[in-house]
Amino acid sequence: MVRRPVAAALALAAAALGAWVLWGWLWPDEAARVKAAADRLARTVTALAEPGGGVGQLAALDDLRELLAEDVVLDAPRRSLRVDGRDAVLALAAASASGGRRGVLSFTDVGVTVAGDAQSAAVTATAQVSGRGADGRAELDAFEVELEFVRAGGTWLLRRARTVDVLR
Amino acid sequence: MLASIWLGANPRRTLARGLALVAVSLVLFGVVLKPIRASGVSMAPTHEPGDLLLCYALAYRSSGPARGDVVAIRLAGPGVVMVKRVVGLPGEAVRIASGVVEIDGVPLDEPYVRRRQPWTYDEVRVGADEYFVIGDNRSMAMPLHDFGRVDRRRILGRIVW
Repeated sequence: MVRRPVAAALALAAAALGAWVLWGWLWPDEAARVKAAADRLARTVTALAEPGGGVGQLAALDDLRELLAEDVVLDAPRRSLRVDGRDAVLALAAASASGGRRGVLSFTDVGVTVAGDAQSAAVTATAQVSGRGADGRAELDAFEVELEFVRAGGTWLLRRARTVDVLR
Repeated sequence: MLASIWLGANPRRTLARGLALVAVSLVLFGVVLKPIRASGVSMAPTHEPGDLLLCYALAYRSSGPARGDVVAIRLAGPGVVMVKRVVGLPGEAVRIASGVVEIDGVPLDEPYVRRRQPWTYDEVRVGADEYFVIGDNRSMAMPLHDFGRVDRRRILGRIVW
């Protein structure tokens, strides 16, 4: 039989944990908001590549536009790829989606550092793209990325995305 | 009676043993031997997609990786890692000619490589805190295969299973 003080302590600990979780859910800090922006970006890119095209793709492109800063830069040195500006990035995204490449993009091991003025944030993460190849076999591509977000009108927008060359 | 069925004649001892087992497992598989699910074909045929691997995280506490070691390399964190084989050690010159890895000009014997494409890779010098890593699958096109010099600090441990 569990003694009363122990039971009380366990109940108090459970209540404190629940309160802490609820607090974080109701009033997320800026780092959590930046991470949410990154997750939304991943979901939008994934939606862009879903089969069917047409209206769904247009809606996804519209969503993507709202997540990008006007001066956004995509930089992938190992692939000799650099794209400057939101319109160029959207054009690339539309072309990639039309090219038939399908996959689910997600970010793991996400680390967020918000600047002191809370107007910019640096994110490190592992980007995973999972899907099926032409032969039907499951494929996974993973690479490290550095993202920079800036705050505009209360919303975190992607300003820069750069792949990190882990193997030089 | 139900408790006796599940917990035996001495429930307290059974619970204590269960907790001890959980604690040991957490330490063993959380700190010492980290499970990794292989994905991708760069280490085939040594490790095929779907294989369950174990990374010994304490392997390099007192010394660095040795040539031939299969290691886990972290990306942004430990959640997703690359698995590659060490072929070049700090200070060595590595190049690939006609699919054969050469270390300081000497061809490397690699019995784990089954088939090779005639890769060509210009010589690079491995830094003092670096290792040259590459996958075992040399039958794939070189642009599709990630390999090169990696910072020592990114190596999480040695694949032992």
